[in-house]
Amino acid sequence: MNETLFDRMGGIDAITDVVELLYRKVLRDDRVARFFDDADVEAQSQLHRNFLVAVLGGPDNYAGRTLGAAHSNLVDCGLGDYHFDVMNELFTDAMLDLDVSSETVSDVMTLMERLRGEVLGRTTVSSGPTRESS
Amino acid sequence: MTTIFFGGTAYECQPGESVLECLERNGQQLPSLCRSGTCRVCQQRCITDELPGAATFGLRETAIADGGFLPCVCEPVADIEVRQPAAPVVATVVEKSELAPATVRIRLTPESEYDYRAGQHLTVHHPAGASRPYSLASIPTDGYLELHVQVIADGEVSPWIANDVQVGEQLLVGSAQGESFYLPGDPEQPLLLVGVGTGLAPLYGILRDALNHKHRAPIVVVHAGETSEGLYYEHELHSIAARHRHVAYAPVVGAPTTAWRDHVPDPSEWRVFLSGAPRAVQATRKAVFAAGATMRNLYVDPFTPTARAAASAS
Repeated sequence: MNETLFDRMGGIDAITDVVELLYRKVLRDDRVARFFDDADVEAQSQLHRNFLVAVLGGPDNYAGRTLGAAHSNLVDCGLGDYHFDVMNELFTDAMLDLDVSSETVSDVMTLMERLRGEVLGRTTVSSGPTRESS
Repeated sequence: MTTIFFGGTAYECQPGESVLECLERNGQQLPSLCRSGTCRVCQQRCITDELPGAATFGLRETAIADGGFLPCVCEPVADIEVRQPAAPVVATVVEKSELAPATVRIRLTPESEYDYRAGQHLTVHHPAGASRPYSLASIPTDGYLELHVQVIADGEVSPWIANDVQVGEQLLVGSAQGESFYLPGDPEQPLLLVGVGTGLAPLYGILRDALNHKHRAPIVVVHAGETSEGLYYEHELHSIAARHRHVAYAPVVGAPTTAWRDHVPDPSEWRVFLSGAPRAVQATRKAVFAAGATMRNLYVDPFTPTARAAASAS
């Protein structure tokens, strides 16, 4: 069996650290911080972590809404491709800062790219996390 | 085979079975949601000699120190007693005074043993049925429970405490709850305490608790009030800061969101306690986190009855 991206990123502890760093970068970045004005950062980052763990091939503990439903309010407030790109840039930085290999980062980004349409409400897909198909 | 004690009854736990599964097999109802150690809805407290690592994954150090564990992912390795919350106790009002406009201090002496940690909160029960959480400003060695009550004009409990409750009266108070308290394990880690209004109450307890435990690293206390009149305990805090050179006290009129920065340029290694009005507390949490403080070092106690009720239930 192939090693999952979840394993390659270092499991739940490492992904937790990456997501925490991602959120710190997000709150410091004027390009995207406003979308998190009303968010409970701790609860939001845990939900995000659980979603990532599931789509990266780890245990599926994601109990949140679909990607489309979770972002529809933000799309109404102007969330678009530009912000999706910024989030991927910050996510990439967070992974590299915490020594995830560039090959793994690249594969994670390929996976994120497949979620773009659903996040931005252009395609409707599954009701749960989209599993990594490897 | 291990034994689970729950509600005064012993249950034999089968190999491969979690505490949650065993109790449910025996007809006991516990709240649960994800059943895989993530959502923490099933979190309980226990007494045991040993817990498997998975049973405390993601819990705060303070929760673990208080016996917190997740029954859904706990396959017990030793006998384990799941602790029920203690029943409310009767406490006598021994002192009542005004701290600031619309802010009252009461001190209560419990009529039976009462365990708590400085910084936790309890619920005060109104005789008509309503109850509200209030933070403890005292420390266990004080011998009394001290509460700072902000009077909400149309509230169900605070106007009653402010206007009707008399010294000598007996009140019903719930057991102490909450994960925002001081753990003495790391006296070299600096502490930032930011309180808004009566959010000072738990921090005042945490400050005195830390000093009693000989906390050596810097402690910065930021107290924010809407007006200077709301900055009660100014004299007490100045006095503590004068006696302890590593304690700094910073009263602030207005929002505390960034006021702590003058004292703490880089909070990444600090343990941070935030308490008080939810909007100001959440804004400050974001600012402190963005500046580098880590989630595990951020203890946040927003004063919203609904949030507290949800937190107590989980």
